[in-house]
Amino acid sequence: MKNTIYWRRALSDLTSRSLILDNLNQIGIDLAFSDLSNFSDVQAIQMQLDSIHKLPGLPADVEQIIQLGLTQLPVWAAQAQVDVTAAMVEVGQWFSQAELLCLSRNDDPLDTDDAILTAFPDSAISLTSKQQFSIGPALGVNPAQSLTEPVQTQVPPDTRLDTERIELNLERDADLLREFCNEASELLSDIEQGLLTLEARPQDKETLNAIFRAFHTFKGGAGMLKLLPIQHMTHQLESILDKARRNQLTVDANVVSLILQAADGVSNAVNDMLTALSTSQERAFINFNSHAILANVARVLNGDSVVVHDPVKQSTPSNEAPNSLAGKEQSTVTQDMELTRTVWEKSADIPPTEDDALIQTMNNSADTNIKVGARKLDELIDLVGELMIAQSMVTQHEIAKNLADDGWERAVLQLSRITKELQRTTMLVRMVPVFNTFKKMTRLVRDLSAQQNKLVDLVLVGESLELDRSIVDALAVPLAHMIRNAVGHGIEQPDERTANGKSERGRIVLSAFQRGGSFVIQISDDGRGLSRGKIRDKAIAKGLITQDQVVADADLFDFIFNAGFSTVTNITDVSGRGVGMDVVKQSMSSLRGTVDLESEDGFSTQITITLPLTLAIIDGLVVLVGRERYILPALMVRECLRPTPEMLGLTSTQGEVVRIRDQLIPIVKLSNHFHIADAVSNPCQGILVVVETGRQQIALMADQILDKQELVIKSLGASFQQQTLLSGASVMSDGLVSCILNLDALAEQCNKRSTTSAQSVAIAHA
Amino acid sequence: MKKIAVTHKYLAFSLGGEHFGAPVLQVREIVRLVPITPVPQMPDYVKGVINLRGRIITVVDMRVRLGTHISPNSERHCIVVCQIEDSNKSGSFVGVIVDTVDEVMSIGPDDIQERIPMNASNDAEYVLGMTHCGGQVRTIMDMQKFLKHITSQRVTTAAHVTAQTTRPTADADIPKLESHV
Repeated sequence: MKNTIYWRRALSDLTSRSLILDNLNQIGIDLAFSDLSNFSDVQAIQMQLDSIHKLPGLPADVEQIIQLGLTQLPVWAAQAQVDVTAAMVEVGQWFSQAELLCLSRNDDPLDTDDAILTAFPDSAISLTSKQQFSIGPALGVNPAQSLTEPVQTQVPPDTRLDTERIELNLERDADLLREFCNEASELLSDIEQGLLTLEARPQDKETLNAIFRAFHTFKGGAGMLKLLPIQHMTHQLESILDKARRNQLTVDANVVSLILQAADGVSNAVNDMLTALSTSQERAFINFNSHAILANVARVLNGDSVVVHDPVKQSTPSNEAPNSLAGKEQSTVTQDMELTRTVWEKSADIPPTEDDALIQTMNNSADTNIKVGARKLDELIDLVGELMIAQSMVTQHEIAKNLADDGWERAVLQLSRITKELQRTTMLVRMVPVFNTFKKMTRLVRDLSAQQNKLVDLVLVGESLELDRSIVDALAVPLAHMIRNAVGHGIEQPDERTANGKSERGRIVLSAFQRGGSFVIQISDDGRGLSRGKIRDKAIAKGLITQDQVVADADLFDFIFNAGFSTVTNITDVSGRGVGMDVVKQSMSSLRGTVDLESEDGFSTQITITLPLTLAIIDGLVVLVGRERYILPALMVRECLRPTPEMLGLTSTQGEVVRIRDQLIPIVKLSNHFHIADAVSNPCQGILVVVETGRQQIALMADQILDKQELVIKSLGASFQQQTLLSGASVMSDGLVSCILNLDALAEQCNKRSTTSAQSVAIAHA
Repeated sequence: MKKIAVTHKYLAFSLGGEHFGAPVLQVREIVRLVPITPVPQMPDYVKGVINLRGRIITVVDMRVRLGTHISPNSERHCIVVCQIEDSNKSGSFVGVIVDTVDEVMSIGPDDIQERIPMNASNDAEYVLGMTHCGGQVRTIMDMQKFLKHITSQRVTTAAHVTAQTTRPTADADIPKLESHV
């Protein structure tokens, strides 16, 4: 896809260059031999100039000079009537200027990849000009080399470049525009990451070149689509980087901020384009106001310093607070202040090497990936799920079960092996590195810390961890919110930190790792921590607890997840309204995950998110209660047992309990919760399944344990959104549906029950 | 004046001795009555879920909802699957248990009389009218509105839950232990 734009562009570029130079040459010849005092000669030349002027892909400066020629031509003609020599001198001057311009423009590197080169092996286009520029491996032009040529920074002023509106011809260019926009998003993201790295390590040539290349590629696409203001902007930005490459400019925080700001502007324009594309208009206009930024860029190119106001980029989707922060707080960024350092660490068993990870990830993003529509993938995975069910329906069929044939057994085994593998592979297809979401946080931390005048280091651990795509997507907003909290409420101002004996720079660690059967994502900061006193006070004020009530830390922190609960005294746009953490908790539970808070008052806060390994498949323990089957996540099961009467007991706080190895575990009777008739009521005649939820253990009572198998999880449907005790359903091998239990919710409800029940029966003693 | 559906074909079915019709466009398919997996903590007219070719759909018993007589399940009972539009998703399927499905009839708009709201019930929202075609009085229902209405109810669910949590847990089978002072 990418190549299509660029070979088209390259082709048109080359064609027009050759045409321009060809025509120009012809004009030169004509001028030499023509009589300017002769009207028809002048007309001929005028027509030729006109035809160049109409060529597609004409660079702006060339067009200008051709235009100049066109306007001057009558003047020269008139002059020639009087003084031929003088006229010819002027013509000659103009012509050399034009020729020089075209030839030096020729030095502009083409936007080609090696892949494009190989696409043009035979059709080497050579230009009939003094510069032999031809493509094709046989002719040995190294495109990489041309990138080291100086980029033209002199762009003559063109009124069209300063326009604030760009016209889009959607009817003609829709497909190209769409390709361009898709590409643009990727490029802009790479640019952003690169800039942040560069800020931390200004000497990193590799990153500098990578950003330069990205801008260059972007410029090419913009030029091809005649998005002149955007092309101009990127050209200018490219010039800054070019100067930096040649050590004529240092990339400091201000420059980075400026380029980020410019990139944001371009990004907005791209978004506007996408919006316009989604309508069915034929033409559209998008706004692109670049004056201020261009002015700053000009200053930077001149060697003057700039001060850039730092807006916080709204990098996360629209359910964030819509207030724009641009220009709210004018924080002047001093040149010697490193705002954020982003440190990449590999997981604990490999000694951390900062550079490798980043470089590798920036390189990894290109070649071996294919873009596939997400919907196709989802359909594929659904089908594989169906295949599993159908397979078990065949192999579990009555007739099949009674076949005692070796050949059959082998065939069945083979079939199940293959389908298992197929399923595993399709699951992996949906996995993406969590790294991508983490990357977005670096920009956020940078902007926030600049805005709030704090010094924050962000440490990212576990970039290679892969999660199901939908989880990673769903993580973006909650993570962003928690980072905002960490920077906004957690990390203190530098002087407050030093006053408390902490280091000046705050530290936020965002890590992802696998633990047991789950993924864990942790955000820790060494900031203020959570003040239990404040939370208590707020909870009392809201009527959630009474003055004298003793509440455990964990439960106290749970209040934070209530909507509208915030102990912050001054609300900023960033956070403090109390609408964030409940959304976080909700999004995590919709993914069957849990959120836990830990904190040391004054020192640290740690938020731990635990998520199941995959969304779609569960390793399930199937139990029978009454006549219905229920499924529990097998990973949460610790043990199963049939208790003896001595192990049972009745407490006032937790209802019925079973004692296992000196621990009293509450018994949860599904038959009661779910109003199931015909269920076994005496635990000694049933089975107790001891499961471990995030915080506690409970013993589920069932009639029997039927099976342990991998099952495809299906959603119960929108009608059951209020249903908390079930996290989904699954189709069994006989085609009937069984519900999957949400053990966390069950445990919670069990707790609530026991705290409100008013049993006055004594506690069991051995 | 309420708008009656322009297309003239209706699925005629009966439940609890009463006769109904639903616009054919709202009906996706009809399935035999299969064992339904109950889902706890839902209103009593939500019977549970079934598997429809890999898709899990909710099954509702209209007879319970409308308060009609419920005859014991027999072979003629079936589930009429309708599609309702969701705010977020493209559309979900809901199945409705009916006693019998009679036929598909053509009923012109002239033959459907708008129901005169005699009582204050808001059932009138999804009742499109009454018809006398085929020799029997039938109530023509807008299944979409009806199902949307009942699948979005929250009140009864909450009531169930609170009733649950306040019930004491005494159970005769657990041996009561002696209290120590």
